[in-house]
Amino acid sequence: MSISRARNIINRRKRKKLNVELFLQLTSMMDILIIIVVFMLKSYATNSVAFATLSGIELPQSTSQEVPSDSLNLVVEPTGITFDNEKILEFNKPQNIADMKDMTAENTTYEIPEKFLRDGGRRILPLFDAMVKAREKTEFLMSKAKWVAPKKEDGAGGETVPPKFQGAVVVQADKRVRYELLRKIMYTAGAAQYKVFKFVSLQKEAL
Amino acid sequence: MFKRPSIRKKERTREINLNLVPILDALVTLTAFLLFSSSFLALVVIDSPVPLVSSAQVQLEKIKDKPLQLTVHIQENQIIISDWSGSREHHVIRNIQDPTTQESRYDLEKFHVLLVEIKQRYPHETKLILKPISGVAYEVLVDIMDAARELSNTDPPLYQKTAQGEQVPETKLFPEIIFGNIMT
Repeated sequence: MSISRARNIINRRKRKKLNVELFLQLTSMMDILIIIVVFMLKSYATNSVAFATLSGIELPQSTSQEVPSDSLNLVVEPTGITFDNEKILEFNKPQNIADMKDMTAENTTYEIPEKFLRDGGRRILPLFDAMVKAREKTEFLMSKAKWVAPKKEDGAGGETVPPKFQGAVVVQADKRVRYELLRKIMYTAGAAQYKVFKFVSLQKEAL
Repeated sequence: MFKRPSIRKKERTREINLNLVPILDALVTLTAFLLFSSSFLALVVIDSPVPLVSSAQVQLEKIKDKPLQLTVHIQENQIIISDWSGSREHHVIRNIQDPTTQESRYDLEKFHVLLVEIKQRYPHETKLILKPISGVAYEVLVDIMDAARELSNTDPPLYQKTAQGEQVPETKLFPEIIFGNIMT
């Protein structure tokens, strides 16, 4: 092959080289993301109550269908009891555990120190104080709120009545917690004029 | 020969490329936020009212109605179901051995069947009093409450007569569960 012919071939190949800009197809990715966002927004809107569940607690399973409502939250953690996002007391530490951070649901004692118990060991004093404080705060806020009672068929109602304190407390506890501790908690809550306990569980799927 | 190009401006269709990158950024951020804030755990609650101590007069009036006051004593090796006097209903359900774990457990199936039979005899009763011992675990209590509150699909249909005389199908067994030994 002559040099000129080779040069012609090379020049032709160079000319035939396509200089095309590549565009990434974002349309399909946009479709996927929009569908995901719409689904998440829909499930986010129906769940109006958010409960912070702890990773160290294993909730029991239940076939109940009732959804938790907005109430004061009491959590029985492996290290102690928390009420309304505030640590109330710490359990007695087992002898083989050096630090409270090492306590898990398996090795904790769930024993309340004697100095915190009253009424023959049934009432938990710091929990009682915290619950009374929360109740008084709620009642004070409710007394300031304006509430119009719905009118009944006979024409009664329509007056401004402050709402009553419902006295509901949501209890979250590990499935290994003994009834002895729950009884103390319920006695303390009853003494603080809380009327309803709501035991939180994971929904068991129907077989 | 080529024609001389026209001096008139020709409208050419231009392709408009929409810049999807900012929209994509916004959607990715929104998806990440919703993922972090969403909950994939289905949480449910079981309600239990606190037992209220009523006055002596109210209690005397209630006794005249002959209430059943169905009580479930959860002991270490058995469950005892009885009414307040023990004369109308008294059943003892001993623990069984779990075939998979070989451990002793409460016979919740027999417990549920007995409660359905009691409900057939007393269709207007909705309250159940639980008296567990101190060592009963929380998950066992929840299982017992589930067995006592809900009717399962395999249960025989239960009907309740309304004030108008209509037969209404029953959906719950004993939905009001009260812990009877909190104050003792």
